[in-house]
Amino acid sequence: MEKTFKYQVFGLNIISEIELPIPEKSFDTAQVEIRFGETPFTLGGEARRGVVYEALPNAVLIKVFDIARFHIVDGSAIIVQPLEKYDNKSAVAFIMGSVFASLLYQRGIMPLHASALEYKGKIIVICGVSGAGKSTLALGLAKQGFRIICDDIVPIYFQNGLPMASSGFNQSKIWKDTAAIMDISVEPLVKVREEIDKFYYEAENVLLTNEPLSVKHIFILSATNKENLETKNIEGKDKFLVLRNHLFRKQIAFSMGLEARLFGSLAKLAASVPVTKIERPTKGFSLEIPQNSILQILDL
Amino acid sequence: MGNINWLASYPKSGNTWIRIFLANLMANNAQPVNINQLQDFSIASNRETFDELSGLSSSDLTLEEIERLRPLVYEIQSDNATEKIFLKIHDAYIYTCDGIPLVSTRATNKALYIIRNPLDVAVSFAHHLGATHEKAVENMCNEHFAFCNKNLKLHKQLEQKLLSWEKHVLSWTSQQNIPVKVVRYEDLLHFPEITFTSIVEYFELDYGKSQILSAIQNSSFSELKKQEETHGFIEKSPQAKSFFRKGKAGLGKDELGAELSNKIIASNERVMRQFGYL
Repeated sequence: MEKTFKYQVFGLNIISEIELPIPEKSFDTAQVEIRFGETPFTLGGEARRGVVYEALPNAVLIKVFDIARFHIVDGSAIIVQPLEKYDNKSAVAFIMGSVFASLLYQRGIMPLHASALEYKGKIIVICGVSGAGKSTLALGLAKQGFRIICDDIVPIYFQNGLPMASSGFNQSKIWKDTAAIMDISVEPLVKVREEIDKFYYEAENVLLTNEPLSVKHIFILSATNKENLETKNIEGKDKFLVLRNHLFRKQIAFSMGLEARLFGSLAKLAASVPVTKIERPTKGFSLEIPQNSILQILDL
Repeated sequence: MGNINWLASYPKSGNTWIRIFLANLMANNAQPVNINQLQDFSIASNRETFDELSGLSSSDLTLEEIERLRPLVYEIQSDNATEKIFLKIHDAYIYTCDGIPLVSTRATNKALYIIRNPLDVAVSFAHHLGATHEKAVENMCNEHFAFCNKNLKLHKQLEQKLLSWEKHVLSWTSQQNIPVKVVRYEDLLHFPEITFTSIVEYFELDYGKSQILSAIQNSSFSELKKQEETHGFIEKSPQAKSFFRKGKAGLGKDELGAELSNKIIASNERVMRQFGYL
């Protein structure tokens, strides 16, 4: 029997044979297990496919080169089969991305490509494509009294018809250049993968909780070539479309046959939360300006 | 045979102009299309498309891993398309470490290669990069030149190996795997009707003379410049003052000066002669 680790993340109790870069918690019953084991080579002819994945309604198989195969089953198990060039860091990086997103979709939880922060019991979500600056902005807001609850994937689910989120992986992942901008030394930090200059970084102000917290506001952050920051409230159909664009690994979900169900959840989310677009200048990225604009919009 | 029609070029060679022409042609509208709404003509190095279709975050992958997956991404993109699609590409026609073409042959219908006098490219490239003429020329003569290949930050786009200007041209025009037609920027400028019509015929697009002429008009340099001055252009690099600058041919030599012009000519002479630039 391998040593096991216990985590509470995405509102789930998780028991894992692989150590993840988040604090351990104790609980009696696990809802999800991550273990080493045999995975199928393929999910068969019925499965729909992307480049590295195959998907059925209740199973996803993700094959990453000759590093590992991940079999995600029924929203309750992640089976990891190490391959010839397996290394733990790489496996963890993929588990914390597409692998967990697949599991969340299987459980009816909607993962947004976003960072999320808690302030006075409410959640603000900052959606953005890779490179939009969401982790950096979250780190800036963490210095203003917000607590980071998720970096990269935010789990959205509904309780009594209201959109909720709980903690995801809340270790920020920062690139070397961002660390330099934020005056963070990368010397003591652990690399996400050995070959890439991206590091795990735990902000001073984080919150790890499995409690559902209500989502107050969603921001859509993007970098543009404009000179000044622009903000705009999004209404109507655009709100739905922009949220759909920020589903994490939506093609995997669509391959699982979830398009219609996600349509309903997105419409419900769009109807219940204000969404504001923040376009920041790419050149001379200053944290203060988008930060202040978020504080202003939230009336804090 | 696949569904992707590639619009390939070294940067600042008229690729965007062709895309806007095709967008106008397909919109088939009296009004010019909005240059900020060219979503149907994405770039092959788009990070979000890669992440979605591959199923992995490119930010968790090495540059080599990304390169290995890109041909497969284009195959999915081609398989998902219900009709022929256009993709802009600035990468040279290279082979991945697995020995297969980055531009998957199975995903490809045809390629159009747009070439422009490198002396003019250099001036425009410097403007685009917000760099000196010297730097632009140095990049164009560097056989290992690439966009977005620094590992310490997350670039907006995926790595693109451009190689030197000459190697870029030869990589596309001498490969034998996929059909390629070459058009010269200067011919688009001086003989628009013949040249744009030849592109329409090459891609077997079903549009007549009046529609082609209208699309040429709606993608004229003055129209594009006007739209950029009024609403900006989302594809302008943050370093550049504007995307559409002069839209002329033959000014590069004077603007670069003798020393830099000679440097470009010395490095690229064979291909410059082959395409009528010397």
